[in-house]
Amino acid sequence: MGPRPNLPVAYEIESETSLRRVLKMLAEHFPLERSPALERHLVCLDTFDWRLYRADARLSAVTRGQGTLLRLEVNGSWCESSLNGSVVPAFSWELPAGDLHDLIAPLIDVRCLLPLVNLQVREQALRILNADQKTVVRLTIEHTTVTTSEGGQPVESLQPVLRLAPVKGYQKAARRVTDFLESELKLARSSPDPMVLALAAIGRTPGDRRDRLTFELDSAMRCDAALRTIHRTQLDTMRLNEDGVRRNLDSEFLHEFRVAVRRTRAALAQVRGVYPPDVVAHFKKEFRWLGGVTGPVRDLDVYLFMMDDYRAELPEALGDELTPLHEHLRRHHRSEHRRLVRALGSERYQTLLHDWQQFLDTADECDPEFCPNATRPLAEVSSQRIWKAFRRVVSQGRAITAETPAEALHRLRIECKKLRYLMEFFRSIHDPKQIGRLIRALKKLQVNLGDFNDLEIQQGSLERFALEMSEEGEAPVRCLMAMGRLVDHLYERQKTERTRFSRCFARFSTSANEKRFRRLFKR
Amino acid sequence: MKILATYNIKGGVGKTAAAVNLAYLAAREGARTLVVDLDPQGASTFYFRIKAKRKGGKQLIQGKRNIHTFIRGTDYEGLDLLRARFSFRNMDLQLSDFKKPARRLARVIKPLAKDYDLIFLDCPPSISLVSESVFVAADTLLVPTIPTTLSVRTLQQLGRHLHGGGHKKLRVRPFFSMVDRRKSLHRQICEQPGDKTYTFLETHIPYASAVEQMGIRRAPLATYARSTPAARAFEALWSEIKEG
Repeated sequence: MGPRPNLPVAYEIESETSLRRVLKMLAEHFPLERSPALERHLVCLDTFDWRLYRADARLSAVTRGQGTLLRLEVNGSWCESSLNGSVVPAFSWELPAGDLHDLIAPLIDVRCLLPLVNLQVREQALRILNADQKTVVRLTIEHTTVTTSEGGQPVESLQPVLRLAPVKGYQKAARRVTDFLESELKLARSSPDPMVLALAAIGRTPGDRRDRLTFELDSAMRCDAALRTIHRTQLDTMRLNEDGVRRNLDSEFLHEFRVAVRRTRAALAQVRGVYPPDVVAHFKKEFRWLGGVTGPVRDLDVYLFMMDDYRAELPEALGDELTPLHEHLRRHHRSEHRRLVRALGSERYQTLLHDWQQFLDTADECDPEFCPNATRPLAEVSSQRIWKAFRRVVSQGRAITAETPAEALHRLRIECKKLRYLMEFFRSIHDPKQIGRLIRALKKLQVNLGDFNDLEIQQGSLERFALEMSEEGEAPVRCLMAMGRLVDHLYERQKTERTRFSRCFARFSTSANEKRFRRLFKR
Repeated sequence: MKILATYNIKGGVGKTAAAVNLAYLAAREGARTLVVDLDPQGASTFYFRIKAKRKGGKQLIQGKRNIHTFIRGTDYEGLDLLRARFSFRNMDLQLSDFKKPARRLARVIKPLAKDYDLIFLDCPPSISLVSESVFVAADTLLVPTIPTTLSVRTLQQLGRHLHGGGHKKLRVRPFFSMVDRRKSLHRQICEQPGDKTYTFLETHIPYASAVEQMGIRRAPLATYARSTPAARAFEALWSEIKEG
């Protein structure tokens, strides 16, 4: 990381006229040396869900003259990495190796970097010197213009900014200058963040893509109102991610989209007696369809990510033999994605979203005979549901022994999922510490059940891919052999997960946990 | 944090020029860099237009003052200097007050590890407790060597001394400095140093008036004579050192 000057200070200056006055006064009072102004173009980058911004990091692609480099700033420190050419990498694995890569990769994970806003910056460096002509204070004047694209139309000019960076060991000189600026010239310190200001100029607020479940519910509110809130946020999430799914920017758009669909379905099915039964039946069917049409691409996304792990699991000589499988997955991903885009353009999908929105927005009173829970207080209904779901998980789990067929574990996995969704939906009406602890405990059990299930599905999928590849005439024997070894390997791992289950379940279903569930949810 | 020391038993061989120019190049590439001017003559301090102080050496060695108060920012971003004190001439005495005197300097600069990626120790000539401390503290010893018979002999002496002193982790990287291509002896020794203890870095720093100008310009070579052979030689030397 680059240097962190001690206490840099910034002043936003009202206008060009006052800037000229400030510079004139400064030059009269201090020995000032100017360097020629430099122009640079900046594209601010972040993921769709602001992962860098939320980690207080600012990433930009800076073009100055010929070269383009990436610059990352975190808490006043920075590091840079030059790019070959001007194409800005979209994914962490496309970033040049080095500090910048190592800092960004864990933050953005599989998400792609998207250009947020373009800035044209004219920067002039000034230095205040002492009697030895040594720099004792550094100043910069920044003129920033928000543009539509590189070399594009200016949208808005931000206020000029005067930045002052003290030089280590010359704090007295810096204080003389800041005193002069503040008491003689009446400038006020500020901390302008060019990215935030530029985003404001184009009508955006950083962090405007919120997490999916950050709504606040009230334990006394009516159950139907709460359920509508939950459903509305999920619908918003679908709408928000739809474009990214269509353009296949990164795999997370589809993942988020599908999570929202699953949550919508879970809330429909798990909180009964709130919406009219015919409505529930209709939308359950339609959202099941939507879950189905988005499934194949997600599966292929997951297998494409798994390729590195698969290669690593095989002996080195066999790892390369998987290339035809990789190709197969990529080709099918392309065709399945086209199919998905068609589905999202279909009338069925448009009607579904439209009707659903309309239903959620019109708060018609429902016949109490069909919707007994609609007007009941949320806390009552939700706790009842969670308690019931918990009881079911415990009783199903207790019935599982080493001899029980795998099918029972899958059923338990589904029950755990339902419980998890319910707890997450109604999280905000409970003590965050207590419910958080129970969710974490449940999560651990879910990891075991999920891995067990995944490993089984993977074996089936690999067998299916092998058949598809043979049918399409692109299955070299060595590739099929490598895949066979993988299936064996996955089978062994699945057996291990199976033996771990009883321990994982015992850890979840302790009497202490049961007491906690009872205290929180038993009515 | 990597610690490089420019060192030679002999004086006037280009230690300070190497420390200042290499540190400048490192900082320009984004490494947080510090030059520690251990020489009471304060040449690198002078090159950075910073005033050397008379007193304070004892406080530095005793660790009684925050080490950051000894450091000044230079004119270049990312490049700082721990400025020389005339009292560094007594550093031998001050070190000998400690139980393990040769390890003291390493302990004094250790807290800087989180603030700097690279530290250049610009050492005074001669062989003493100060140089022993440098051998302990540094990862790499850069030894500017004038291509003369006596200089190469001095390097051999250093090699024997280091070998006997158990400084096994210290990497010694000599390079030819102040090379005058007009002198046949210089050319001859550059080609065949005759010393098998260490491999010389391939880059030679020429004897050049541009380097001598540093005393008048009071700035690293690359800031005022970027395209001269000497400036290029320092760049080549730096990339060679970085490559390891």
